[in-house]
Amino acid sequence: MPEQLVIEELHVRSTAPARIAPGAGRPASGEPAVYRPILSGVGLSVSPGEFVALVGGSGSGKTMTAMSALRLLPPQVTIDSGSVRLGPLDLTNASEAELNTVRGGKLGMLFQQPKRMFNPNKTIGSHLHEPLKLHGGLRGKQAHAKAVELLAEVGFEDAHWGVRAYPHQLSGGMAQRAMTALALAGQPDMLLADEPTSALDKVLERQILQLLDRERSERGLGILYITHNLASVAAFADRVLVMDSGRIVESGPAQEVLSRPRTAYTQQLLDASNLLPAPRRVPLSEARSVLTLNAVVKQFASGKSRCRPALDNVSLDVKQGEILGVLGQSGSGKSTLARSIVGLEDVSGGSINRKLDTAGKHGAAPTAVQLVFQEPHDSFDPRMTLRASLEAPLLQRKDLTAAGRSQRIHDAMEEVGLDAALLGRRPCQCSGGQLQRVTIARALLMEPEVLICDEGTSALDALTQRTILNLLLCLHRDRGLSLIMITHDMDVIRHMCDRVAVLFKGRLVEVAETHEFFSDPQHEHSKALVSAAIPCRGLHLKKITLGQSAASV
Amino acid sequence: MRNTSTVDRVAVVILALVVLAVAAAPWVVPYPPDEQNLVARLAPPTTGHWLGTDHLGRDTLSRLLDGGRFSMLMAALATLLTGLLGTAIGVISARRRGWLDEFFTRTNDVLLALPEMVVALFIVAAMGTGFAPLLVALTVTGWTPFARLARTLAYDVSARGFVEAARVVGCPPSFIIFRHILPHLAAPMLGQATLRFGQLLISVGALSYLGLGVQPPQSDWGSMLAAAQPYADRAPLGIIGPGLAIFTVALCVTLIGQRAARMAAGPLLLPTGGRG
Repeated sequence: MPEQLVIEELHVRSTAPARIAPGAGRPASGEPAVYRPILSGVGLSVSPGEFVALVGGSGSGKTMTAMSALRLLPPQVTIDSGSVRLGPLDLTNASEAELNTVRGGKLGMLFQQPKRMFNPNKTIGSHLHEPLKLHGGLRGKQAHAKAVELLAEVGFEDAHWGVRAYPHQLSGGMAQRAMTALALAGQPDMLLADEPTSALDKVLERQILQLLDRERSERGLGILYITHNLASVAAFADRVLVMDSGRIVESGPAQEVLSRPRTAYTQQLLDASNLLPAPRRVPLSEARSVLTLNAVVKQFASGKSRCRPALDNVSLDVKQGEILGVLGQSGSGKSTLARSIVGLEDVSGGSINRKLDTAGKHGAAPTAVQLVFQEPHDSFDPRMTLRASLEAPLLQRKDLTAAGRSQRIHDAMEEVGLDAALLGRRPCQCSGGQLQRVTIARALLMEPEVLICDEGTSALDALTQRTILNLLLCLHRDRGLSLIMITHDMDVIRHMCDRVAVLFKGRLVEVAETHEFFSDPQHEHSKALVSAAIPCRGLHLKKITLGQSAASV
Repeated sequence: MRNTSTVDRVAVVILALVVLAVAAAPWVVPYPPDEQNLVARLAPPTTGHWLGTDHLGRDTLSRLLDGGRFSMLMAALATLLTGLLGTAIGVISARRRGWLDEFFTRTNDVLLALPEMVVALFIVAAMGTGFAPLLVALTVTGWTPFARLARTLAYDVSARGFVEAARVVGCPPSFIIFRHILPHLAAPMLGQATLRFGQLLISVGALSYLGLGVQPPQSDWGSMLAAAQPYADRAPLGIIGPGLAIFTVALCVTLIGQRAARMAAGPLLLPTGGRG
């Protein structure tokens, strides 16, 4: 008997000092409050067969809501009051034994980073056996058969191989499918999906969501889908709950909330995810090229000849002041391309020509091409203050005095719109958006001609992503900076780029002007990418996507 | 759970007292450490001799304090040398990779396969006894755990985003090693060093016990143990004294070192984990 998940008046607070909390830079948590509220009076319910979306910026308490429902909160976070009920069972004061029958049983959970959630030493099959044994009482051959069945159900082409596979053998999308199978293995009535697709590209995102949607319609699975991506919400969710600083600020049917938002916050979220196509710019044919790639080949693991090259004969030409988008699925060689261009990887063949305007440069370090990394928290040494991190590259320049360096750092910080007071902090005291700005500031210190953003905004929520994109556009306009946006986000491409290059299995399969690319993609893979992009407010798409899913599975 | 901070404080106080007493030994010992008094051989504790006397009538307390100088200095020097050598080899292995890494790693494996004491004995036998040969023996056998740890950690840190970011903005390798890699290695290496200090203190004692360390008339805790062993039934304090000294110092250093390593790692510096 499927049961309803009801959360009522849930108050959750942190007993840890706010000082070390992530995102301490935000004014809300700036003062050293000892008992920082995380959730204040959250109430929601998910009925069987309902697809409910919980949206909000990062730090709004979405994940904490899901974690409280499973009672998997970190030790310094406690539930103050309120109740979480699954059918008749009150989870807030259930015993650990009761909880263990619920977790992964009636209440499934789908996490954000599938690859991290698997034990690399165990096969997917043995991962699946665990919930099958605990919640289904299946063992041995029966369990094996059920595991194969589950994997086939979530879309593994060769389920028998999948059962024997180890996590590292799966691609990101496959791992998330396996994770979904794992969540479904306990025959849950209710599934908590915490940003299950944020790390995946659009094609995979749609496939995973379709899979969940099918489970919903076939088995009456209730889904609480946590995300900051409103586009997917519009296409799949029945109801939407908008969260901001630990409160539900708006709720209602998806169509209503997305078309007539009542609060400013929802409007902001909507605006941020509604990236309009860029206006046409002047043709760039006469601009000089700043970066030329000539038949670049990159081959890893030279010993094995059957291994296909990560980059296969890639030729590309980037003009000054151009914004080039590089599209491709996970594993298509996008990051290898970026790393090769900035010189982090040696290429196995071909040449990369970074046209330096050497007359204007002091010093000779090959820094005309700069890279903004995906994970802002990882691109700074946690031990160093931001000032030290920014000063490091300038120390190589003999012509600068200490005052000169300081001046440049302050200028760069101002250019990316940050307060210089931030320089004294360490990375863990800053939010992801702030750090990504500092990364850009560090790149600007090198006076680059080309800035490559390797999924520079994918790890950020929609609001922050928008501000970073605007910053990049400003720099592009004011400095004439050429940008290479490496991403799997079609909206970003459409919003920002003049030209699009599509990478598929290490080959450059298509290079086209953005509007041509979206209106008339040439290559098969490009067509798949374009059709998979879930446009915002694409309510009408739901029927179409459902129809396709029925056809494709 | 034990109250770690109290235990650590006690360890600091004890170690400070021992170091102070040992360092000030020439001025505070009640008797010259090698003054023999054959009339009062193997005496039990008295007001004149707090810990009694040994088989030649020498005051045990004086010898304990005097011998500690050698034991602790040797162990500290050996820890420092092995730590520096091991860290250097580990970081070079991780940065240069290729055949150099292979060479150091295989050497490490070979040394690991041989019992440390046997190699040390071989070196001392070849070079003769004395302060320098003993130090060489301990250094040659003792660098491997440091190198292993440093190599793994340096590999790890080198793959982190901030090292790549530093490379992209044109920081030279020396900057990456000294400002990024070594600071990240500091806390674990410190922890390793304190563990090794205890082991080296025992190794020094063991070599001296075997007669290959310090030579008479100079004494250390190991040679005192060796000298007192035949008379253990009549003057047990002769064994308990140096044995307890080695044990206490090793324990205190390990406790303090672990605490220091935890503090160096610091909660502020750990990554903040997931988002959302």
